[in-house]
Amino acid sequence: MSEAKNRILARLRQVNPSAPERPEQPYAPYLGEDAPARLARFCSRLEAAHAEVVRCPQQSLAAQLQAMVKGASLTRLLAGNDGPFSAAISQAGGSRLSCFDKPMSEFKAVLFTDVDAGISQAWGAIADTGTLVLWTGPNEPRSLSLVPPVSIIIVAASAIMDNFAQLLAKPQCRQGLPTNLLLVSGPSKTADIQQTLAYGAHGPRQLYVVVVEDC
Amino acid sequence: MAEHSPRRFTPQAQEALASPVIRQNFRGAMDYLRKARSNAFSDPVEADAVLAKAEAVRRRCLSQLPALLETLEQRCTANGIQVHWAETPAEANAIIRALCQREDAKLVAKGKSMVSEEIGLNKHLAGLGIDCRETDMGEFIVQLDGDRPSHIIMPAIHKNKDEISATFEQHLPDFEATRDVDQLIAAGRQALREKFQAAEVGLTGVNFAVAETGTLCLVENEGNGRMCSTIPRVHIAVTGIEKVVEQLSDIAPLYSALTRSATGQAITTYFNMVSSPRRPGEWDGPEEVHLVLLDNGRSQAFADDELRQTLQCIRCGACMNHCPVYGRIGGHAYGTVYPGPIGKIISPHLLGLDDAGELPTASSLCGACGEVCPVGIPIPALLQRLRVEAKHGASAGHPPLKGQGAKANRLEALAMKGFAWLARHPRCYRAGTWLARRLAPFYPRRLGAWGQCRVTPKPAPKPLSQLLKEQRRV
Amino acid sequence: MDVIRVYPAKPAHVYLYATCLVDLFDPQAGLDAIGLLERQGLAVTVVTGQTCCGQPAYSAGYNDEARAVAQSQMALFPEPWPVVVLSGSCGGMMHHHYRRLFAGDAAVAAFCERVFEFTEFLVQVCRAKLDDKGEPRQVTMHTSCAARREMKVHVTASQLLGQLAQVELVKHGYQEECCGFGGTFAVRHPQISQAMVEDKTRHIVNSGAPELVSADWGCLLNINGALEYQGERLQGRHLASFLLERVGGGHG
Repeated sequence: MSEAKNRILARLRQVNPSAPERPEQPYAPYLGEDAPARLARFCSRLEAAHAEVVRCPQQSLAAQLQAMVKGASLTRLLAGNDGPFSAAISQAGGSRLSCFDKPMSEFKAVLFTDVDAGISQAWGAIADTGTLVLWTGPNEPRSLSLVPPVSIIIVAASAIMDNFAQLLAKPQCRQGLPTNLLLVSGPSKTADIQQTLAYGAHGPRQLYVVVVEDC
Repeated sequence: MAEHSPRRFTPQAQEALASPVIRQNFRGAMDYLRKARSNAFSDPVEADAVLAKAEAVRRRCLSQLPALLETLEQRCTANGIQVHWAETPAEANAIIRALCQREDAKLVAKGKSMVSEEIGLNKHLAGLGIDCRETDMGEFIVQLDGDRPSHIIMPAIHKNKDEISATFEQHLPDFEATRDVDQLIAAGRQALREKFQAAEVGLTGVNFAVAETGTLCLVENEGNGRMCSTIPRVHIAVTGIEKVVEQLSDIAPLYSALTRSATGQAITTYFNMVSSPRRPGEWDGPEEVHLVLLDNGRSQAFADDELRQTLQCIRCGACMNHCPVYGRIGGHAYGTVYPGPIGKIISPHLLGLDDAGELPTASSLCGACGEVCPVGIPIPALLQRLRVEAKHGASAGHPPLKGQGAKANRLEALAMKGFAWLARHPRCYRAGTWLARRLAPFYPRRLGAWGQCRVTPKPAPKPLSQLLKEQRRV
Repeated sequence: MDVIRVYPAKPAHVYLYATCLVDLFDPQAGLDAIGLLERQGLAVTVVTGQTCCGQPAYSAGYNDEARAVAQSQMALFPEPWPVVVLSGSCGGMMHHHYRRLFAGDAAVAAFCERVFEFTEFLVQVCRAKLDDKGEPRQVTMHTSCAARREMKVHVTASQLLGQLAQVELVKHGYQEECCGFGGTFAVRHPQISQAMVEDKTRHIVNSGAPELVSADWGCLLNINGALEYQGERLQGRHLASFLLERVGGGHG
């Protein structure tokens, strides 16, 4: 198919479009005044998007998760291999918790039908839009936040950035994006039927976010 | 369902106008989307800044298009994404078919992709016994009905919940009629989760392809795009060549402009950035990722300084949401994959002016589309330009468009020459208007097409020059 | 088009470009516009040779013909006076689109700079102050789309009406939406145009205002024709006639 490529590029190269004359203005999205303002905006935006947000210190994270699991009657939990909050997750999940440590093809049906909730650990967050940033990989499988009907995402307050542009400017992004970098800003939704908002279109119906305030 | 065609625009539009249900469904949807957009851009200073930036980014990226496409291919290839190029819909279909057949695929789970509509992929694969299943809720509903999308963002916008319930009753086992949208969505979810698990191949579009990093970005709310790009063993992304952007930093303003223009959202639920197939040690994600880059008339638009602006489009649909014509005839009447104002300027490049040349005339040039376009495409000016090209041969220095001059009309051309001559000869012009005044008492009350809903306008007894003479003795 | 226009100081002399539609259908609006301009202390010249700005040919895709007409019209205004156009869409044609038709032509660009829509001229150049002498009155206004989006006439026309102490400007539904005229569009796509004008007239009538004004005779031709067809008594008037009447200079 390289012939098609050569022909397309040859046609495009025949043209010599001039670069735009006007200089581009810098893009200046939301900037938080300080950490509390950022945190407040992050939480209120997420809540407006129908997520349930709780804040807690690191030492009560396990208890918080436990209460959440109990409150929502979640019996089968799935989490990634390793991450900053893995100890608390294990403690809270106990025997209900399994670890995503084998290829998905080996337990696709279980993932789709049996697992109640996936627990993810966010790499960062964006205050402007109330967004969680998931840096997926071996320890953080991408389907955790997609397939189970409930998604629980834990994020450190210190990881909250002001806006999306700041995320994209991070050297980690420019030098080596993961297989799949994900922004999540609420539970799955659709307004495709008569502009009526409904949650749980294909992904999670519910999104619980735990903000760990002191880390 | 009858095949719609841009050649049958007028009868198709009439059919839609005659349906009160269609009129009502579109009016409701347009009102909702306009209000949502306007709320999302409530701060005019901030709105101007982000939209000016989005436009500038699109212009800059297009000005470097061939170089960016090469960089994109290099980076994608280095990341393990296989890149394919297609000049025509047939070539794109052949590439995708070959990949599906190599996988021995029976089922393709497809996320929303206008390019896949453009190439007629579903039909092509169906002919080979491969079920290409739409998974976006709106697209899913439309496909069940054997229907086509009528809006690029909200494909089932022409249907209300009663109609959708009837569709589900007909096609989904054990479904009971309901007017409850949550129940309707739950039924769609149930049906489609089975498809995601079974599909050997997932297919999606691309909203932005980042050359700097070789990254494919997908914008969505439902999660079906993530399913299609995560669960099946093979992920195929198909996109037009214009979707490439230079660097990561370009996508922040574009994404914001897109979601706010489309549905009034500050951000969508998911922004999915795919940079490679599954890497060693990872437990999920596709083992192969393919990118199909389609030209299909885009390089023709690219060749002309003015028409190139068509390619700035980020497919938000705001132009159709604000178009008084689209709002009344709906998306199907256009007979093209891309309806509404943007469709009127894209389709002539995709299909040729012989097929799509009538579309640019179906505008009162009110300018609402150009006003709301987040990337500054001067749609009314381009409509006017295409009207010229449809009626005349190519001018010097411009390669002919596909179907150039197909709508040339000798009688109309003669009438226009007559009009121009008269306008340049004031004495004769005044004699003409004098005659029109004299004949006014004999005009029928209803004249031609105009008279279907309006009375014939009557000239005043005397022209301005005469009134001036009489009343002011000039 | 998004460049902010810099307005000149008020001149002593202006040309009035009445437009073909005003000349043919409502020449009184031309007289009334002259009356208003004269009240601003201006001498007004109407060149009798003026015909049409060329918009019908331009919007139908006949640029050569439009250029020929444009040239003949521009030649009628040799003095460096402003050309005040009595319709937003013709004003848009002569201010914006002549420039496009003659890209790079400095003389044409200079002419385009001299072109002003009537209400724009009264507000931005004359800084007109209107003294309302009429009875309390409700009025609704339709602004042609070219006038609205190319010339921002809805702003200047509303400002003029806003100066009238006894006049209440009533909004109607979907006020910013097109009436369905669009020149050749109404003839080429009559059914779509009909759907648009029927909605427009319904919203105007539903506003309850006993009076309709517009600064564009193209739209009025369409809207008035539909209103009359529907048996409505309401008929739109040119804004110039309404304004002059309010300040006490009406022809009664």
